[in-house]
Amino acid sequence: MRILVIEDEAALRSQLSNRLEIESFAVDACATGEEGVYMGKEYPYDLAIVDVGLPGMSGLEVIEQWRTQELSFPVLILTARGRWQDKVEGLESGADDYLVKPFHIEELLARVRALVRRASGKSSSVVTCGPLELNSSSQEVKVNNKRIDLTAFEYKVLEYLMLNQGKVISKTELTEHIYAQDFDRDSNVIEVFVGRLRKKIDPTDEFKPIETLRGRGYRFVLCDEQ
Amino acid sequence: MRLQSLTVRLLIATSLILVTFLGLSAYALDKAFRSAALSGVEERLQNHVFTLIAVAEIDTRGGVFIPQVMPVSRYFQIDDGLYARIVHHDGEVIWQSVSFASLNLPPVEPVPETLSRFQETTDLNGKGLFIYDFGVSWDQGRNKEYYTISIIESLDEYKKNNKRFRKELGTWFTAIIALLLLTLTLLLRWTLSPLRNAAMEIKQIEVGEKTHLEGNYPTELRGMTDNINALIQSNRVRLERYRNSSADLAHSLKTPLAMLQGAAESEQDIKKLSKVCIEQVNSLSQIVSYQLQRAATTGQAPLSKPEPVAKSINKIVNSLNKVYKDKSLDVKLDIDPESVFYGDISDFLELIGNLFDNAYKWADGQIHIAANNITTAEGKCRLTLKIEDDGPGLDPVLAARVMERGVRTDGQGGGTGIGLAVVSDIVNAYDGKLEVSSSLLGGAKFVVIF
Repeated sequence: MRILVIEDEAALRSQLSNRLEIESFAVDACATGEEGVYMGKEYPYDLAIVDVGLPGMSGLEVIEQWRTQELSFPVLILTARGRWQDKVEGLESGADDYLVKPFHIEELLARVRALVRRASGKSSSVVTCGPLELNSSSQEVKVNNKRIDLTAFEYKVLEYLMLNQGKVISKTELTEHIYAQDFDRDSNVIEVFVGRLRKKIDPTDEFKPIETLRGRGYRFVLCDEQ
Repeated sequence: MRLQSLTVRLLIATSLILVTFLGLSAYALDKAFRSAALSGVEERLQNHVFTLIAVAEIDTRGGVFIPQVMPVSRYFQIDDGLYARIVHHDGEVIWQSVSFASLNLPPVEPVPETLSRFQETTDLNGKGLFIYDFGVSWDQGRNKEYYTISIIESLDEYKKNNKRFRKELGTWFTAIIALLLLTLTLLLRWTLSPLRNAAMEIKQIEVGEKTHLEGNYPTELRGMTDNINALIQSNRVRLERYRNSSADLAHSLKTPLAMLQGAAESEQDIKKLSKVCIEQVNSLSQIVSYQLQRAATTGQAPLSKPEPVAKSINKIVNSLNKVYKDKSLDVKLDIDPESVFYGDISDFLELIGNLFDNAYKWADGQIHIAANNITTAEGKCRLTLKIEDDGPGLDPVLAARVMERGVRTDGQGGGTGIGLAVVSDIVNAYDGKLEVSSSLLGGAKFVVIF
């Protein structure tokens, strides 16, 4: 999952980015609204965290610009103003949720996960498919109720594929959603990740949850919601 | 004296009006007096002509003899301001009064028989004169001879009379103006004295000698003075609240600060220190948010206009529907479109924002929101708001505590835990009523009456 953070306060920006990266998100960060508008248009984000009180172009203007250009990724706004009038203004400009500063980083993560999940149409943080169970809050993956160890990138690939069940995901799309902008990427690595993932989640090769579509990408099999 | 003074304005305006009207009247009177005086002069001179005709004796050679008898004796004095002359139509002066010698008049233009001519003129020496010429004929045997009789009077007397009249007129009118202005000034002093009293009372309020306007003011001012009193009162309440919240803020910050200081000075275990820090920072941030909210509450202000509430309620509901999309709640709105709130609309948003957010947070599947205006027996319009949910509900003992500042029931998770305390503060700031009970839906029911 790739996230854009727009926050002018350098300390808070790096705090947020670091924590989100630890939580296996690919994070791009910038300090001004103008830059944010540009990045939001240029890269396929799964969510944006926007500070309302930016110098120059305000956070609300950034969201309005995205929304008029039909960019629909969920947006969480951070605001120092806790009055309902401000919250309503933020939500009316096109944001999906708000958080009043100061906030607990855990609360921010919970809301980010909820928004990402909601955007993918899932109502719970746990996605299951046959013997496979992925919990996006705890970032745990279980096969037949047995926890399995995944690396951060393996988890990212699996999460993205599972949240987009039934859809064909190209290697490029996968790369874009699991790596931040300035990451040195190599699409061959994706093949390695998928190969390792298959071995870990389906060691007996019976279930075959990830299909390879030659020249087009990967598809996670469509499972019934539980 | 400044032009801002009502008295000065009124006096200036009245003086201008008085001077204009009395000036015009004086002009008209003067004109009427002159014209009356002028016709008086004409009549007098005409009488003189007839007297002369009556006493004149004509001899057969065409000569005229005027005897020195009583009515015409003035003509034989040297210069009495009255002159007479009889001129034959061929230009020959037949007779002239003794006084006539001092005049220097051009030859007379003959006037036809029985006609007259009255004019104001000057003689060649520049002396101002009235001249009344009258044409007559006298029989000279078989012939009829024509003459012009001129009676001339000096302007001096006429001018003197005019001058005296004007002087008297001026004196009287000045006296009238002065009297009227004096009356008006006294009247204004009397009429405007309540305003002066109000200004004085306000000054006393400023220096703290009084708390409100006490005087018994006339009906025209009562509305204003009552509103001033209400403004003063609401400002006092607001000031009190600011003062209290600053003091509360300062005091309530001290405990967490002391804890932090203590931990920093004595706690060796880094994990414990970090725990204390997190706890106290949380507490500090809660205190700051709560006091900020309190300070931002405008509260009941006099002269507040009614604000329709339906739009605000829909705004908050739409926002919360977005935030709590996952819960897919069934929200039933029962809002009378005529409902109004007398006060600051951002206070209202704050109130319903917190109450609705609470309902959305706790509800399992159903929320019911209702608003309508009820007119009380005293004719006061009161807004009633009802918010019900089917969540776990609120224990009444806890409910009472929740109203106090900063007490939170959930102990963790969303919000800063000051929502209901803020609601309670806003309700109090508007002298409203907040009731918490159990809803038929199964959860909590909040009723707010303003």
